[in-house]
Amino acid sequence: MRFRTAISNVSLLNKISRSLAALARSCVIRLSEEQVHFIVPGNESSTGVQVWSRVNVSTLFDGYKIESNAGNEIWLELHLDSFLKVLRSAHSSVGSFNDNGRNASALSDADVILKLNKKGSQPIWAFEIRGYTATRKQMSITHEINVKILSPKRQQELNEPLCPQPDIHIVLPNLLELRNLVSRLSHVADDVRISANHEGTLELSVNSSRVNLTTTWKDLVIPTSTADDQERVTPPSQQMFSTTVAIKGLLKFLTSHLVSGTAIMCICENHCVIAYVYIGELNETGGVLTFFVPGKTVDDD
Amino acid sequence: MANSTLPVLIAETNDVRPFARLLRGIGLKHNAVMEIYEAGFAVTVEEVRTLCAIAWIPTSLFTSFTYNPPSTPATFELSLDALLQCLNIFGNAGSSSVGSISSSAGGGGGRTKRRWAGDGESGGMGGDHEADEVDQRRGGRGGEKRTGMRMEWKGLGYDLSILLSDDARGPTTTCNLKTLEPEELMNAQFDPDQTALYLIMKSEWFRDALLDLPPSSTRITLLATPPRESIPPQQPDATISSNGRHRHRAEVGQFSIQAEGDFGMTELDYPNDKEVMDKFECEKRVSFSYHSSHFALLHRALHQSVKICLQIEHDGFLCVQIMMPLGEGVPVGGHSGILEFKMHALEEED
Repeated sequence: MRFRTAISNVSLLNKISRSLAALARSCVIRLSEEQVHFIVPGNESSTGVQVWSRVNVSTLFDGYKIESNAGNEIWLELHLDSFLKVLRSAHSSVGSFNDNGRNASALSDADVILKLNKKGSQPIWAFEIRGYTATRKQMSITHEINVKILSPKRQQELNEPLCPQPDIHIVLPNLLELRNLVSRLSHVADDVRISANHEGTLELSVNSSRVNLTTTWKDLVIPTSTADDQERVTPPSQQMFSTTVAIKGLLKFLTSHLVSGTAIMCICENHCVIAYVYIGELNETGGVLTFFVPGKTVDDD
Repeated sequence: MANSTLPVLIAETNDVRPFARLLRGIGLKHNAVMEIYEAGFAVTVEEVRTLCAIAWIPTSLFTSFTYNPPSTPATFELSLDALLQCLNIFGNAGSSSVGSISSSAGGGGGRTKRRWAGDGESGGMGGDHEADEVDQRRGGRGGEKRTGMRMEWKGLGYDLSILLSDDARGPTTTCNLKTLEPEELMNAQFDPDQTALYLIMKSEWFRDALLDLPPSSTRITLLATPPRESIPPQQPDATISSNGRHRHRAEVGQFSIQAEGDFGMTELDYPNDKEVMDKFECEKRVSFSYHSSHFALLHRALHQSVKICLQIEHDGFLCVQIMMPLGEGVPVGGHSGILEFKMHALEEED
């Protein structure tokens, strides 16, 4: 089992990990030759929100080498806390111009190498950050975090949730604005009802003993249907499809505004909502984070 | 009953902030009683028999205000918390967008801080802190964002419905606030014939004083001496200038706020000088004490206000009126919102 790569996009990996950390303490990473899958199974998060995402290797890594007996795939599990600490250190060392200007601890010509090693019997991920200080001295920082290699049995237990054919797909408004609004709704009630129709209307409504509140977006984009959708009978365009979810759960998904501003949501009526957060542009996407937010059963209808 | 089909109230504005600011000033309880008049709203909050706070909200805060008087008074109770949350749904009417209010208002002294309506949205959710940061950043950059509102009340038994939007292309929010039959209000009236002290001064002076009061004090004493009071005996250990100051203040009259805390006594004096007092009417010496936690509530109400008018009846009943800055096009004699706080004096301590 061998794994070695340079991390070319530390900032993106950092953002992905931060949005995962909002959901769970640990996550499963499935490394294959072409793609990296970040998985947070439902039992890991308190709200039942699951993440099943895949990111193209080239989006995050450079000089990527993987070998294993299981079709060159490695499944491992790690603690997001320690992973984030390392990434933060790496992020500040590589010196980001984009976020907070250049910070003092930044190294020049820095690169970050990630290796799968073994320390005794404990598998570890070793991060080596190398670069030059302002005085052109070479500097190298190494972080090691424990990882757990998943057995084939455990791998098989991890299954993407089965969902019925979604009733509707809709492109969400800007995730950051949506997030801020939803966080304000969380002061009013615990659950929110999400509804959408094929005219591009999206509604979020909350009810409490004091107030009923509905926020409506109009003329959002409905993605063009794919081939297998066309066999289905098109419902009347005004018909609303709804699911009630916990606001806490929805907010967990919305932490992904860090990664990208655009997402498509689909609603499986009274079952769940699924959100696809695209990394990069919609047409040449470098990957997609898929969030499953389970629906709640409501008493009155 | 010819009007029975028309809604009792339709009020519209393109910026909810002045409206929200007034409501937040009296946000000391979860529920409030709202009365609608020809001249605007009166929103009242009462702490059982001890404190009464009223926000007088004139029609000039709205771009249009249509009131069709129903046969019964247009009065109902609603959740003030929920109303403030609705107005801030797009983040343009929160406490942060009008400058941060220091939490010293009610806190300090080990007293647990109670969360009242509109106390800002800190709390629970993991990522809230970030959201606030983002809000502030957005507020800094795009100060032009305003939330517009259309409020409608059909009449007795109907919800108060509010339509909000911050951008023509953006989302809209409709809120239906449940209305309840109002609780009976005490709302003791201030009797102008019984006035023992009447003064008007800048809010700033008064707010600074409230900030300086020791947080551990429980009683706050207001004391006023009329002009040409007998000169106090010279303190042997006082400097010449402070003796001179005392003499001057006795000459012109003064107002002072005193509070005793764990670490001593704080006294703030305001001489009846032109640059301090806009108006100062005091016949004879008055001194009354009030509950400091009630006084602390004034702090938030004073935020962004311009002037206060403080009146005390002969029996100690206090009425503080806080005036908000005048908006554009307010007619002479009109106002852009007044917050009124009324409270009874505490019994004299032995």
